[in-house]
Amino acid sequence: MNASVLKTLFSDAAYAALAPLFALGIGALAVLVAGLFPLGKVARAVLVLLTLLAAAALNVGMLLGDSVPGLVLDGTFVADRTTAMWGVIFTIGVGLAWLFSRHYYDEDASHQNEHDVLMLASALGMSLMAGARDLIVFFIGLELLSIPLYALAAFRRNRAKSVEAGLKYFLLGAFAAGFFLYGSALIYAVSGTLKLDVFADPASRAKILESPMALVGVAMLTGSLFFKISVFPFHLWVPDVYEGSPTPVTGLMATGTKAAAFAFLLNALLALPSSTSTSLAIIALITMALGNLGALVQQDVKRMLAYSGIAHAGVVLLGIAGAVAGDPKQGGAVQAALFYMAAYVATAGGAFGVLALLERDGERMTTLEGLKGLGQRRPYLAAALTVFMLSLAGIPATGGFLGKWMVFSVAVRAEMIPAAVVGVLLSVVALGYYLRVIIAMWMQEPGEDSPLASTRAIALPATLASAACVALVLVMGLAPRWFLDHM
Amino acid sequence: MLESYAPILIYAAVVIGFAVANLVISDLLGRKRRTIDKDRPYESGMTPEGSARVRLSIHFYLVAVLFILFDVESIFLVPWAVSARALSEAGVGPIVFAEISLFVGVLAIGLAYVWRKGGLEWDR
Amino acid sequence: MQYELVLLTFLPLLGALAIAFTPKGAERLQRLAALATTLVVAALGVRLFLAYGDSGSDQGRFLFELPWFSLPSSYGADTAVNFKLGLDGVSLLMVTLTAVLMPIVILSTWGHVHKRVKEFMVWMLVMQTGMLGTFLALDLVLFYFFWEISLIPLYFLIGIWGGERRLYATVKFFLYTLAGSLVMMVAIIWILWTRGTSDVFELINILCRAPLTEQLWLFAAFALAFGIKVPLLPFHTWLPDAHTEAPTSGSVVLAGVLLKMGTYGLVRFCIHMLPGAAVEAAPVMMALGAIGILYGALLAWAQDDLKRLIACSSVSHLGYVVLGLFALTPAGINGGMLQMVNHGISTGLLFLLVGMIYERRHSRALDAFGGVAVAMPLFALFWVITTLSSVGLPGLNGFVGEYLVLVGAFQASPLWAIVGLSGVIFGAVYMLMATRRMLFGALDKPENRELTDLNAREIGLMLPLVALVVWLGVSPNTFMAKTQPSIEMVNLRIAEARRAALAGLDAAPAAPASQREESAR
Repeated sequence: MNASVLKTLFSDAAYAALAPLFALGIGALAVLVAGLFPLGKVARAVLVLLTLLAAAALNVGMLLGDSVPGLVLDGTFVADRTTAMWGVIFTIGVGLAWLFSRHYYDEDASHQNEHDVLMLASALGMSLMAGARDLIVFFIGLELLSIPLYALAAFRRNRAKSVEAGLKYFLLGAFAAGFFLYGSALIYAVSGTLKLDVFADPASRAKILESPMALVGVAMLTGSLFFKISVFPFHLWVPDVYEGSPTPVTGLMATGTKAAAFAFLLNALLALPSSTSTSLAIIALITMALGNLGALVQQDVKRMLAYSGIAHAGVVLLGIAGAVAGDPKQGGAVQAALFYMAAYVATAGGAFGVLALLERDGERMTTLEGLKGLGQRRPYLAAALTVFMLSLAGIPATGGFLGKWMVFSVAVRAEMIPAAVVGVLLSVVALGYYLRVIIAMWMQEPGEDSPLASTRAIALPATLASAACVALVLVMGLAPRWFLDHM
Repeated sequence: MLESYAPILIYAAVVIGFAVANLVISDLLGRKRRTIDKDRPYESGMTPEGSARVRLSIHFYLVAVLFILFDVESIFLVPWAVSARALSEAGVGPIVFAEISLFVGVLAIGLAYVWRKGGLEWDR
Repeated sequence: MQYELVLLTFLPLLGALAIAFTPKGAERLQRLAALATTLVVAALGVRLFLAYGDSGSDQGRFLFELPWFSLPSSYGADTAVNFKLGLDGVSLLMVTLTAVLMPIVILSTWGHVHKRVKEFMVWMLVMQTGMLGTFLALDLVLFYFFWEISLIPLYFLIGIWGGERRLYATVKFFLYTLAGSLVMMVAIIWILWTRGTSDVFELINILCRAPLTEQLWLFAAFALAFGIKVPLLPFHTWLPDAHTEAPTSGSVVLAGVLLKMGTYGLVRFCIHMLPGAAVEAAPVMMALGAIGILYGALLAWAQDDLKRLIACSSVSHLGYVVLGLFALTPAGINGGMLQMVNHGISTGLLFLLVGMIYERRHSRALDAFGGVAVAMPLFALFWVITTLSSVGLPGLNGFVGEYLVLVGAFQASPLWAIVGLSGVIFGAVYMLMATRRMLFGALDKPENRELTDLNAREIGLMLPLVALVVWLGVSPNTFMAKTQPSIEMVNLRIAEARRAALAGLDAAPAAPASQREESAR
């Protein structure tokens, strides 16, 4: 490596680009150290909040600023408006999960501090993934995200289900990571570089994609990403892991991990040969069908949302298939996926959060049986969950609707009309189970064996978080202009 | 080109030779007193027979993980040390030093954390 | 004042918000607040109706536009989606009907809504906003917004306050309608992407020049959504269930206004926006309409449940609307438009009456009644008037609409007109038979002797509708004159498309399509 390259590594632009990551990293360490001293609970919470706010502010600054750092660190990391928007989404997602996790572990709160550190570290990993333009940088981000999540999944270590979730997630995640590394190695063997730039140049892209070895490599990379976004045929782990993990962590997995993997998939879009678009669309439709049909038969709402998350990943993948097929509108797919995932973070994050609140009051509250009559017992909580269900179903006036609209737009633009029609019809199936939640809450009286009404007041952080989610979902559905202009 | 690898070859030969020589010499020179225990196959100090579901103290793992942590640290430190001169000639010496210090600092925080949490105490 | 339309649309929503913040037990306050809100909206609606077509009023009054957001299109600039509300002859009657019907519906809930009054009123008002928005929206995306939103309130109304099988009915209703509208969504996405605008009036000018195959595909997508809502024959099965299980007021709104969203969409989009495809598909649509008339009538004949009978008669009556509209003759379209209003009023009244007797007798089975006219003479009077209006007695509203529809249909296709005509006879048969079995005959069931006649509230709430029944029957021109200019425009488009079809030419290749190819390069 010569000196001139070394100099560019430490440019001001690089520091500006990494500032949000520094904020998260320093914050995570600070929280870790703070845990060693007998500080109050409030002081530590303020520290976490400050970290997240700082990261969010730096990202928003980049989003609204006149210029962006762009490609830095010898072309391995990009900090543009898209990265910044992803960063904002991640901070919101982690922030929500964190707010909902307050008081969730009340019966055993001895490791709350570690919990927070792990959440912040996962946010750092997500941001690194979204900006990565190099396979190794991405891998570091991936592990930085995944390892904390393995630990978080098993965080309620006294419960067998939680430990099982952590172990399953870890084993399969390690497999996926192995696939990723092997795929990277194959691509490196053909192209001699790990940077995604090689795919940007049409000549070298064509040359690499000619080689079967590179194609196998690309397939392995895609497979490992499919694992992270939970797409057929790598979706089987989702229900067990989502069900077993502590609910706020499930929310983070459903929203943050998926968003980060999609962010990178969109960055690496050019690595996918355009001939794969049909197979991608088929995989997307199969994923939607499996997710929706699986969700239809669930009695546990948490598990149902896990299956619904699979279906939602299928929807975004359909958009990606459209983009791979050659969406004539440049950047349309990125905008659509950003909007969709932003709405999904607010919606699913909120939904899991509300479930976390209910779960605190006893194990069975997250079943459909337990939700019966919730509208009478806790109208505000039920109303929030209703909004989330409608948004997940893609009913207008919610962010979920516009997200669905934009993703299907990408498919329609690529002239994949049959796929789009099948896709929308599958989302009618989805409505079948979202409606069941609403029915249970509003239209059925509590049965004999339904849990008793809880008198416990909802803590302030969770109230704030649910209100913020509802507001975000509605604003994205009714006045989406700011989001659309900045994506 | 290939000659530049010669030191590695020699180094490898010395390492292997040292290990083999040690085994051979001790076999030749040592006193042999055979006992039942000594004739058993070597299994890291564990009895090779019996139930596989033996509970091991979690401390072993804790120590192993901590060891790996600082092992990796040294792996990262060596390349920096090797190229420190080149880096300072390129005019980025101080900043890279700052970075490596940061790296060590982060690990130090980790050590402090483990220490403070009692991870280094064998009996708790 | 250009905000008049916005006020009309969102006043019910404001009322709903206000009611949502009233204390839980204050039922009287909640009922009165809902009534007051809908009365103000009704006054606004009537005012708009009177002012419309008045040469002195400025055009801006009936249009409201605000930039909303933008979506990608194949053009250089993104497609601007506007918040555009507008009133014209096609929507005028529907908007007025929605505004006028709601206070009556709210007043009718005094009798049958006793649990969770607050939520009920909130959903009713939200529904009114959704319906008014659907009729007023002149932007395709905005239309779709309101179109889907208006599903949710009825979903809750049926699901919470409905009858025995309410959950089945409400889910069936929601899924059926949504399946259709989502296919329409794909069509709208396609239009936005290829044409770069979502303004309905602009699209009406652009899309009539689109190639016929494209028009037909779009037509199919839109017609599916609207056909399910109407409901057109093969998609009608959700309606009897929804009607039977819905609370009275829900049924009234469903029959009175919600179904009209489908027929309104057929006029506005399938016929006016895609005239070429409409001409091409007219025989099929007429056939579906005519068969619907007959099939609905036969279904109704076979029912024992009074409410289900009226629900099936709805299928039959809406068949007239479709038959008339797709005759694509001036008489047919005029008749169809008028029949939309007539059905809203007559069927609304019928559901109100069924609701009133159900509140007293707690049964809707025809066999449970007999000789009710003796016990409830006033009820019998109203019932007979409504029945006669429904079967199309000259002098009442039903006659004018049905007559025009059949005249129009005869010009287009004598066969389907005759099939439709036979439906008129069956209609008279089942309605009069139901009347005989319920009102007349021996008063032999002890429960029926105890029935009390209508009270002042019930009479009062029905009187305006009865007045409309007579007014529409005697002087339909008051209403048709207002809609005439707009329908003239629709006729013009149809004539153009007919000429193009006769000349054997595919419509001239559309300019936007060629532009699209350029930008794709």
